[in-house]
Amino acid sequence: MKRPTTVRLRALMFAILAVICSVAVAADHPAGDYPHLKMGNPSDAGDQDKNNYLMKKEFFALSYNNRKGTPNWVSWELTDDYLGNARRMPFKADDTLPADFKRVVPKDYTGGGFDRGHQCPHSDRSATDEMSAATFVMTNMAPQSPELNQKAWAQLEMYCRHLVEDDNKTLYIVCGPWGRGGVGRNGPETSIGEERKITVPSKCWKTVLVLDAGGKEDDVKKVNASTRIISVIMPNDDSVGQDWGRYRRTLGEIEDMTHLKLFSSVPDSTMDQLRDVVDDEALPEPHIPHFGH
Amino acid sequence: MSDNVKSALQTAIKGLQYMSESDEPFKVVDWPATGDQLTVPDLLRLSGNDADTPVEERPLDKFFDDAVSQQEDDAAAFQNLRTAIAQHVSNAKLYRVGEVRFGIYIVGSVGDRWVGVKTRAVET
Repeated sequence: MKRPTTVRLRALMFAILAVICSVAVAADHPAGDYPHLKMGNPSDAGDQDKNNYLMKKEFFALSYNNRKGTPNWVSWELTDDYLGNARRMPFKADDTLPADFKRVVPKDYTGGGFDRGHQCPHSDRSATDEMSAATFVMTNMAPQSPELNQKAWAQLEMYCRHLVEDDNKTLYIVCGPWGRGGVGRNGPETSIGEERKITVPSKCWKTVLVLDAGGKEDDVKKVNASTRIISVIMPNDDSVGQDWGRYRRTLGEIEDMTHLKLFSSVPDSTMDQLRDVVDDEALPEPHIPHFGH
Repeated sequence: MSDNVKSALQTAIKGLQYMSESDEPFKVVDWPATGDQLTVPDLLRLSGNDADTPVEERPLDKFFDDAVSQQEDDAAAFQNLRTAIAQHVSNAKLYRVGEVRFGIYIVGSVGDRWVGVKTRAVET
């Protein structure tokens, strides 16, 4: 007699919990409107392949590659709602990965000669401490040469925030590491970390779809043949420099290299007109940071 | 006097690295005191940074609290360094020098010298 009641009670509790959870999620994102994959899932990542493992996080989405110990790609929307002055947080292992995945810890980068290179940048998620902390998980990192991380890559990140803050844009950004073998502080290297579990990429790429801010729910429909897309491929070595603009390429070149399908929510007929365009907009005079020592 | 302090600090920083986007060792600094207070122009000159490099003072306790929480394996070493500075260095303050690439100076007075430690951080 007792057992069925317990089971029924449990079922009822689960049902109540489910309702509470769905309401909580709905408050953030209406059902089916997860913001960070709105423009598509570039590799059809899911929960079956450990090297194409989808992680839908609250503040960004990514496909994780267990063999490489880095993401394949990280995808996020950027609006001024995410921008503020939240402080930086400690780097930490991603405890949301399943237990049978290799565990990359912050110390795996120590001594390897490459920076812990945020893919979704801290400063793109700086409205609250919670957002900031979310970007410091190791699944959001790739080994980037100091020259790349601290110069052109950082300059492009700043330019993206400039578009949002000063030009009233909403951005859909996808980026990731690619290939094997870069040049860091200690010279050429193909892998770092305990048991060399992290692949050093040879290139880092990023693509940025630029739309006018406002009416976000219609953003996929807003993309047309004249939409601006900024795509770059940068070398992961000691030659990069501050000028990110010279690394602009076509989106098609990134797709051919990575075998990803980017912005796949947009109809092919539109993407076909955007894929082979190199962004050539004039860029503002950059702020070159004053390095200290 | 500053020699004893320097050797205590040397012991405390041996093998220790500070983690940010990069990992950087510590070094001991020891400069002739230039007055009652270390001014920003003096700090920049003594550390060999350009005179127009941005400098920000930050709470010293927070630096150590964050380091201990992030680098659990090095927590004891950071506590040792914290204690050594508290014991030997008067009025120690933390200065961050630069943008993106920072020099981090923890410096106070020991007799007629400015003494402390420095490391680096990368924050893009």
